Order: sequence, then C-alpha cells, then structure tokens
Amino acid sequence: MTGGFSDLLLNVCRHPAMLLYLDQAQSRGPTSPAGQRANTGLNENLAREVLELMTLGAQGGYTQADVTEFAKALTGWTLVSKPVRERVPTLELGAFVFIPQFHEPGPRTVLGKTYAQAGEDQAAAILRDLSVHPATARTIATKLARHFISDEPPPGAVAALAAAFTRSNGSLPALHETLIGLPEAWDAQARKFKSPNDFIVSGLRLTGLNKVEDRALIAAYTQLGQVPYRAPSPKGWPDDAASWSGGDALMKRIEWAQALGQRLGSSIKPAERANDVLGPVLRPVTRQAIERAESADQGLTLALMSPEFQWR
Amino acid sequence: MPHATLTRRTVLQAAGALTLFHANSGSAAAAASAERKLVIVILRGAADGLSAVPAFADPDYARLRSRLAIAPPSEKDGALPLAQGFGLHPQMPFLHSLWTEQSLAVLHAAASPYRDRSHFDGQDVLESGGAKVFAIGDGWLNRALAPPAAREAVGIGRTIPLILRGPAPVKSWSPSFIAAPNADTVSRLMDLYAGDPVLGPSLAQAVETSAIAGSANMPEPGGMRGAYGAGANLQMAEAATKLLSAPGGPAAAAMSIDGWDTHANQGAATGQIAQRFKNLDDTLKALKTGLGTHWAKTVVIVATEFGRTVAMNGTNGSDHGQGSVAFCCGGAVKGGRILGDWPGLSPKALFEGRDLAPVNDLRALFAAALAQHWGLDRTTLETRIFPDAKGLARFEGLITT
Repeated sequence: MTGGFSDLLLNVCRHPAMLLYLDQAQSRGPTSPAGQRANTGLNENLAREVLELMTLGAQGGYTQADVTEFAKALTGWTLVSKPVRERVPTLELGAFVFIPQFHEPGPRTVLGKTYAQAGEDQAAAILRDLSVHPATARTIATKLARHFISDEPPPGAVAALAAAFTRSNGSLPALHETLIGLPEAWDAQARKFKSPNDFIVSGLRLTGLNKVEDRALIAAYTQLGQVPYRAPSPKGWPDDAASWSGGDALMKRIEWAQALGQRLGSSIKPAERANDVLGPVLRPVTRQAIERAESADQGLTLALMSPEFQWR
Repeated sequence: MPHATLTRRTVLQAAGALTLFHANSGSAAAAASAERKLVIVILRGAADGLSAVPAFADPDYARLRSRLAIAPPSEKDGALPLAQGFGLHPQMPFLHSLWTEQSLAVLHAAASPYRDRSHFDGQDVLESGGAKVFAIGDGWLNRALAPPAAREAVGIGRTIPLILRGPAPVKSWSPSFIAAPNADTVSRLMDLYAGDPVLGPSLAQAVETSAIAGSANMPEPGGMRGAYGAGANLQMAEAATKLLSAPGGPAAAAMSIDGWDTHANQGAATGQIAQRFKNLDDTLKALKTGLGTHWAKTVVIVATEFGRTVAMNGTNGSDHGQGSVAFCCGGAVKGGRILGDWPGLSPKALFEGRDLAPVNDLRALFAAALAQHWGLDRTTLETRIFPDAKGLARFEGLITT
C-alpha cells in the first residue's frame, strides 16, 4: 500500500496463493523440456485474469493471442513443490520459484511489443509494462473511486485519479493523496453501503468488543456472505449497494446485530454509544428510536442497523 | 448451532406490520399469470457443455476431448442416450428421466451474443439480455415481469443477480443459520428506513418473503459448509419451490450454482465436474419434487455464460470457450428434442480453431419461453426484453400453451 502498483502486481503474481488459485503453478510451456516430457501444458487462467481484472480491464484492447503469449511468458513461474524440494533441499516448500525447465522458450509478443528476455524476466517485463499502461490507470482509478466515493464513480474523480496514476508511475501513496484531496470524496450525497466486512468490523468497533472468538467471527462472515478468502470469483467481492442490500441480506444483518445485542445485554448504553460513533450524522428520529427501544439489546440492534450506520 | 427459523407467530406479526407496504398488490389477473412458473438456473463459471451433453458420435469428439471425453452409452460409465448422437453426462439420471418422459429439450452449441472470454462480461450479457457488454444495466427477467401481467420474481441467493435487477420489484431469499430477527425490532427498523429509498423497500420485501420460505422444513442445519456446498443448492431449490408454490407466490425464480470453472483436473464420468453434474441433477430433482402439482405448469431453464475449449488443456482441464449447452425442462415443456443446429467439431467448424461454434443464440431459448409460457409478444421480446435480437429462432411448440 505504500509502494508502487507495479510492485503490488508482481508480488501478487508471485504469491503462492495466487499461483495455486489461478492454476499458474501447473502451467508448462508446450515445447519446454517439462512440457515435452510430462503430461502437462499451458494454462492461461492467470494471464487472462491479470489482463482482465488486475490491469487493462476487459475492454482494455487485448486479444486472445495476447492472452496466450502472456501465458507462455509466465510459464516457469511456480512454487516449490515436494519433488522440487527433494532435489533442491535449500528451497522453502511452497515458496515462489522460477523453474527454467517449465518455461516456454523464445520471444513473446504482447500488445504488439516483443519481449526477447529469457526466463523469469520476460513475464516480469510484461507485467511492468502492463502496470503502467493507460488502460490500467483507468482500471485502478475507477476501482478506487468506486470503493471510496460511490457506486457510480464521478467521471471527474476517475480522470483525476487516472492522471495521478500516470503522473506518478502508479505510486499508491500519490493515488491515496489525490483521493483524499478530491471534493467528490467529501460530497455528502456520495455514500457507500457497507459491505459485510465493513459492517462487521465497524459494528464490533461500535460495541467496543475487542475479543471475539474466531469461530463466532467466521460464523458472522459466513452468515453475512463474505467469508475471507472465499470471494466467489477472481473478480473479488462486489463493491456496490445493489449486491449487498437485498432484503434477505438485510435480514441476515439484523440477525447478526440482534445476536450481538443479546450478547452485550445492558453493558452498553446504546443511545450514547450511537451518538459517540455517529456524531452529527445521527438523526433525531434514530436517536429517539434507540432511546425508546424495549431493551438495551434491541437499542443496540437498532443503532447497528440504522441507515446512518449501514451507509458510510 | 441449532437451526432456527421464523416461528409462525412472529411471521404473522411481521406480515401484519407489512400490510401497508403491499396494500395494492395481487389483482386477479396477476394471480392467473403467476400460475405459469419460470425458473432460471445460472451455472456460473462457464460450464462445459461437451461434458454435460457429450456429442459422442461426432468423429472428432473423443480425440479432441482426450481425458475429458464421456464414453458412448454402450461403454462403461458411458453417456445416458438422448438422440442424434448426443447423450447426457452419466451423473444426471434425473434429467435423463425427464428426457424419457419428454419433459426435457436440449439446446447445444448455444451462447449469448458475447464473443470474448471473460466470465463477468459473459454473465453480464447473459443476464442483461443485451447484445453487448454493459449495454443495459438491468436484467431481462426483470424486464419481462413488467405490466400488464405484472408478475413477481424471487432471487434465491445472498445477492440479487443481474438477471433480476431492474425497475420491477423482486424479492430475495437465502438460507439462514442463526436466530431469526425479532418481529418487533424489524417493525421498528421499518420506521427508521421510511425515508431510505434502498433499505426501506428492501426490508419490506424481505419480511414478506421470509414469512413463506422461512417456514420451510429445512434440511439438517448444514453448518457453515452448507452455505457453499452441494447441500446449499438443494436447500435453495427447496426454498424456491416453497416460495413459488405459496398462494399468490411469484411466477419466477432465479438461482445460481457456482463452481464450473474447471481449468484443472476436470474429470470426465467421475471427478470434479461429475460431482457438479450430480449436484445439478439433485437440485433439479428437488425443484420437481418441491413444486408438486405446480410442476405441470413449470419451465426450468439451465444456462451458463459460455462454454469451454473443445480440446483438453495442459492441466487436465479446459479453458474459456464459446458454445455450451442449455437445458429447458419442466412439466410444461414438450421435450425429447434436440433444438437448433449442430456445427460439429471438425477443425474448420471450431470457433477461432478452439471452441464449439456458438451457432445457436441463447436468447432464442429465453424468448421462446417468455413467448410460449408467458405470452409475451414478439415485438416486445425483440425490442425491449432482448434489444437488437430481431429474427431469433422461435422453437415453436416447445411449451404447452
């Protein structure tokens, strides 16, 4: 978060979890020594998702040929398996490693540029070029604006963020600074519906509970539909109100808030707490409803489920 | 953790609190049009149509598919025979029984108009009904609910899928694993949500929906794993049938089954994809069982965003492709038919040399269901529900009218 997007991208693509998740660990160059010998070959999953989801975007102007070429360049990027470690005991099991015998030999052409590098540097050079591509600047700017400003990101904010991305060569601190300085980010009309993760974290903060059993926490994330590391697809979690604010999802939030309220009982004065947490945002009508609740736990449920607390 | 649902009493309380919100719904015409049920099952992740419905008689099938190939019916673990050299994956005996009783039609080599290979964009086109990615912001099934019939629909799952998003109000439901909300708390929240255009209507619909589905006899608690695994799909199917069958229940339901992106170790008659097909088969069976007498007037369509490469990839799986298969089944379907054209698997016939050519437009199947089952007229279908879709195949006589 304090470095450049380029480093972030390369580290993500070398991360063992990503290598396994998108099948890169098993991909072999079709004419590489390993590809010719064993019963394995190319897998284009990671290459495609890098182009589509992490950099250029689906409308970013790449072709199937670019995907295949990039996938070939990525061959050899894998992790230390048990057989590899048996041969080279100094390697750490499960860590990233480049294995030349898996790598598809020869130059690769991606987005019209030819990469003649040998070995690991070839895909790294492609990733570095992708990381500063203008389409990538737009992708990242749009994601940030959607996440921090509103579901329909204001075009001016996206343009400003994209310009900052390009100007700073993808420096993440520069982007964060730009974001904080944008008037759109402070517009009272621009609001975001909390994701389950936002809601659980902020809800626990509101209650002041600083110790929650792991099981209870996992149960909460499961109930609310956002289990960590279990995003439904490589695209990650939805980032808009329409995806999270369905009636059923609201019911699940009430259930969780109610369970939390019951657990805390009268150890909290809900109206005061809501006032402390929400400040000027707390409407008189909500404050009154919390004060008139039939019990402290119902009051806390109402505070957690109030529109003021559900939107950020 | 014991499984708890809304009790009858709290349901009635909550429903009572809701009367004001629904004072003007439920005309006699709407009740009549709601008798014909339409269920859309979306297989997310690009399900392999050549594994679901193997074209075992195609001269190129076995060679190209290699270890993904399903054997002909005469061999061990072979396909369940359909017609014209097609079969069903051996893990789908229920679907095969529907074929035998002529309640299943199959559209092969089918796809939306989307011609790239992104799951998310493909699902956008499949569900929006647009001709291009992001051309339309709402879903075709939602648009098909519009007046005068003013049908209702329910989304089964934790989020409302795009296919059901849009101007017509829809309900949603998913399985719950902890204590149900206190009806009094819900009613107080209703007051707080009065001015919120998103949360107000959303909570109102939820109370009404959980009053029906929540009283369902759920299968065993299932625990946290149940929320993701095969059990959850059955539970969702069962809830869908309860909601659809309730007096005045919705005419349509949409649910999703995930886990079809079989890039590695896909398997054939057994293995990863076989388990998915078994679960799909069980889920469809649960729909039929749960719908009871409503099954006779039900159409279920199973579709996916696109298919997979014909040839096996380097990791015993398949990559993103084009044409896949869609199922149209139910008591209202006049089945036992393979619909559309078959492009074959010869090198020249493949799309970009790798994928089953998408010669049949999925929108034609959706439109046929909406036309024959719900009586939507062709002009509405080819302009408003599916813009830029003139001249779709009509599949006349597919559904009992």
